[in-house]
Amino acid sequence: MDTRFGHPDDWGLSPERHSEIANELSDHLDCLQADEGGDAAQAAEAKLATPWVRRRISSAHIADQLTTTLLRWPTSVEWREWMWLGFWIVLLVGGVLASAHLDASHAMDSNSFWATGSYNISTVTIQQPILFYADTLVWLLAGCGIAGLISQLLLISGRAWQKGKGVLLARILHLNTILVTVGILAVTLLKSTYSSPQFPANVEIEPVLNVYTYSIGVVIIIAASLILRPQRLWPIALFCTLLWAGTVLTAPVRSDVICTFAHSASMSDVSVQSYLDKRWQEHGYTLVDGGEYQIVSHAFVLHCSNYMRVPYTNWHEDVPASMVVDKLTVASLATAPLHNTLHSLMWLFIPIPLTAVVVMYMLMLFQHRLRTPARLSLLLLGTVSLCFLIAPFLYSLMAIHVGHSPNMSFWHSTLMRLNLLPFDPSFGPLPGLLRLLRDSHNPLHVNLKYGLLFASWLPWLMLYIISHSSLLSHKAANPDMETT
Amino acid sequence: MAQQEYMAGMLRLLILNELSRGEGYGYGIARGIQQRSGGDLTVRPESLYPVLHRMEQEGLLSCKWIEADNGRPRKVYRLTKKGQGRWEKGRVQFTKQAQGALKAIGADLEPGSAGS
Repeated sequence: MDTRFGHPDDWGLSPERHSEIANELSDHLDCLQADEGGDAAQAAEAKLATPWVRRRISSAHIADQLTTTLLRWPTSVEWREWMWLGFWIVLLVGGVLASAHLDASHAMDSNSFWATGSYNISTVTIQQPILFYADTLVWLLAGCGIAGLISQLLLISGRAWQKGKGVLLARILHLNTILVTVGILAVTLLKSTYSSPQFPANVEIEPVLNVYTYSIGVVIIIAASLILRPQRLWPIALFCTLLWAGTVLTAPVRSDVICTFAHSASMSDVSVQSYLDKRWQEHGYTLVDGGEYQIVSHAFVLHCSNYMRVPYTNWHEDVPASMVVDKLTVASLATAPLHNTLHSLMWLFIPIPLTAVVVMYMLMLFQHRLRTPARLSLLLLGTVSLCFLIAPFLYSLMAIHVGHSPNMSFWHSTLMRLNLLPFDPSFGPLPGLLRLLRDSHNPLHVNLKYGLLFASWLPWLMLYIISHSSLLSHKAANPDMETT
Repeated sequence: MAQQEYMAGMLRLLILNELSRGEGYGYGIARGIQQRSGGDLTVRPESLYPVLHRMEQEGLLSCKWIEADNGRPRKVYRLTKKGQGRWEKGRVQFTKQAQGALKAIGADLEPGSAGS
C-alpha cells in the first residue's frame, strides 16, 4: 500500500477500500509525473493530502465508512474523545446527584415542620448557609458538565464530518447509544434519591439574562473575536454560550425562611402545658399559637422578588393572653423551591432526533445492496427503531399526557425560556420527556421509556444484518477480481 | 447546487464518452477528456474518482486490476451494457439540448460536429 495517502483511519475507510483508492491515486500521480514532471506531481500529491480533497474522494463510499467506523476498535484519538465525553458526563451526573442530595437534605417539609410540636423555637434546626454555597458549587459543576458535553459532541461531530458523512453517521450512532443508555440509567437511579422540593416558595422570577441581554453579549463576543484573535476567543465564547443555555435558568437562589412565632406569653408554664396537652388530645398535635413565614430570596443570577406566605394556622381565641412575637431566620435554602434538579440530565437526550436521521440514512444506503430477507429485516427493524425513537418525544410534547397542563408543551416552555412568555422556572429541556422517564406507575410510560432504550440499540442489530449480508462484501479485496 | 449537478452530469457523460472508445484508467480518462476538448476541460482527481466510483456502484462501469508498465497496480474501467445504453441515450439527449441552447443564444454548432 502506498503510504503517501495516510492510514485508512484518516479516511474513515476500510483497509481494503483505502488500499484500492491509494493504489488508484498513486497510479494517477505516477502518470502525472511521467507526463508533466515532478513538480506537477508533487503539487497534486500535496493537494490530495488535504482533508477536504480526501473527504470529496471518499464521498462515494459512505456505506463503507459507516460500517467500518462502527465495527472497528476505536483509534487513540477516539479513545481520548470518549474519555473527555465520559468526564463531562460524570461531571454532569455527579453534579446533579450532589445537588439532589443537598436538596433532599435541606429541603424542609412544611407540614412536618409545623407539626413537630416545636412550639419552642430553640428546637428548630437552623440550616447552615454553607449549604447554599455547596449547592451553588454543584450547580456550577453540572453546568460545566452540560457545556463540556455539548462542546464535546460538537467537536466529535466536526472531526467526523471532516472525514466524511459515513464517519459522522457512525459517530452519531455511537454517541446516541451511550447518551440514551446513561441518561435513562441516571434518571432511573436518581428519581428514587431525589424528592421534590418540599418548601413551596413560588418565588416570582424575572430573568436578568434574557434573550435580549444574551443577544447583546453574543454581539460583543463576535465583535471582540473579530478584533482580537478569534481562534482563542471562540472556544471560550462557545463554552460560555452553552453554560448559559444549560444552567442559568436553573441557578440556585438563596432564600431565607423567616418564621414568625407568636405564643401566649401571659400564661403560666402550667397553663401552657395544660393547654398544649388539651390540644394534643383534641387535635393530635401541638402547634404554637400562630404565626407565619416569609421567604426572602436574594438575587444571584436571577432577580427574585420576595414572597409573603399566608399565616400557617389560625390564631386561637380561647386563651386570653397577650401575644409575644419571635422572629427567626430558619434556613438558607437553595434551589429547592425553584427547580427540579433532574432537568439537567435531559441534556443527555438532546441528540436522540439525530439518531432517527442515521436510521433513515442506513435504510436508504443499504436497501438496494442486500439480499431480500436481509432487506426485509432491515426495513422492519428500521421502522420499529424509528417508531420507538420518535414516539416518546411526540407523546411528551403533548404534555397533558405526562402531568402538565395542556399548554405546557416543549414549544411553550421554549418560548418562556426566551422570555417571550411568562417565565416558569420549573421547566428544563424536554420537561415532558423527563416526567415520562420518571414515571414508573403508568405502563404506557414505562413501555415508552424502555422502548427508547431498545431503539437506541436497534441500529446495532441492523448493522449486524448489513455486515453479514454477502452482497456487501468488499469486491475490491482481491485486486485481480473483476467487478460488474 | 444546480451548477454542481450540471457539471457532475456533464462529467459522467464525458467519462462514458471516453470509455465508449475502449477501456481506460483514471489518469488516461482525465487526459483523454482534456485532449479531446482542446485543453478547455481539465478534470481534477477529486472530481474524477468519486464519479468513477459511483458509476461503478451503479453498474454503469466494470473494473479490473492490471499491472502497469512500472509494476504498480492499475484499475481499468470499461462500460457495461447498462453503461453503453446510458451513453447512447445521454449522447442523443445532450446533443439535442446543446443544439437547442445554441439556437436560443444565437450561436450554431460547427458543421459535422453534432452527433459525431
